[in-house]
Amino acid sequence: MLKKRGGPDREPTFSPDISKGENISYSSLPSVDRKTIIGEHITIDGQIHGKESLIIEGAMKGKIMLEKNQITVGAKGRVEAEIHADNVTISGRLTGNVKALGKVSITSGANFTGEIKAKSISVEDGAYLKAAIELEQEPQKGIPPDAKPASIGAKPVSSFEKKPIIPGADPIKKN
Amino acid sequence: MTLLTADQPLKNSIVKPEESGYKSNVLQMFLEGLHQRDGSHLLDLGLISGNNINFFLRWVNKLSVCDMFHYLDRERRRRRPAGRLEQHFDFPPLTFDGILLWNLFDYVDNQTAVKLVQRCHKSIKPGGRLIVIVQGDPIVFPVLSTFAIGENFRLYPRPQPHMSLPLQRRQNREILTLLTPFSFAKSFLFRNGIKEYLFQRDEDSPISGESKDQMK
Repeated sequence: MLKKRGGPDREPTFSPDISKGENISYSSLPSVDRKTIIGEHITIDGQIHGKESLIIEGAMKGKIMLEKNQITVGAKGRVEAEIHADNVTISGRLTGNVKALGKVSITSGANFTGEIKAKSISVEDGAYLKAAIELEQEPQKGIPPDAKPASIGAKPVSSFEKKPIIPGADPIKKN
Repeated sequence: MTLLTADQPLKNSIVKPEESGYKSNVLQMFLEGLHQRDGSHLLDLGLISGNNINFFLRWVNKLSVCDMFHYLDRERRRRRPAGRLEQHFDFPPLTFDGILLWNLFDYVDNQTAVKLVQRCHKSIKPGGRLIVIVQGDPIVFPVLSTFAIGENFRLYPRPQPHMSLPLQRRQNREILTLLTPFSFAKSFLFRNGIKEYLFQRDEDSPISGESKDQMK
């Protein structure tokens, strides 16, 4: 028997009790738990839209629109696509632009070329990237608003200050 | 353990440089300058580091990363001339407000270095800035090292022994000559041998031509 989760206002979700030998119906799983896997020996050329998470271990070329779900390019995945998703994990080869409402995670074996727009990003050392990255949130400025950073941005070179602007820095020679 | 910093002499020190780090004056000046520019776009040509990426994204609106160390190492292993780097460094003109070259010049020959400078000059906006770091004594950096950014603009060398790029030592004068298309803005020399340079593209500076030889 399937157990109903959530109240009357929520989309009914069901969780099979595997320990009791209950049958698992894929369509009964909540959409966030559903995953489609494109296998290593599958090649797709075209567009993918939907409301399930996607794992790509094969080859994919085109456009992937899964705004509320997760896309994973597996270690063997070869993808050349524009991607819109909630969260994106890249472990394989991906060329294209990625727009994520949430986080983009790039693991050490990844090879990514393209643009990334996301709320946050994590990149493991060892990953290869040739990318332009923008975070959707307001950039967290490194300086408090009331602090006055050294005003060097718009000055011509000739007007640079002669002293280092950083207190405590002790270079032995400055030009 | 005694830490090797910019404040302490190298002599008789047995500390590993990657454990010490030093405060980068130039990096602080560079980022504070970028912070004041609207829609600032930074290009990092160093080895990919998640830590550095997240650090830079706190200071600029857009960050581009293009790992030249990885590219040069790969080309060298394939016995291909690094002079083809324009195929890798292929950004449109006047794109960036700042470019971080790190210590890349320590690992490229003169011909490649000239091409790098031309590419940087072409892709940086007028008023944009460039950071160059030259590592010092080979005893301190026995293998190719990149830098991880820590708190308070401290740079921690990260040895990359798997990379096989030969060290090309250059004197101060050679660096300044190489970067002639840019205006020299500031430099610092630290006790650990590291030299940091800040250059700027003049507001009225014409775009570098690929065919123009700026240094022979």
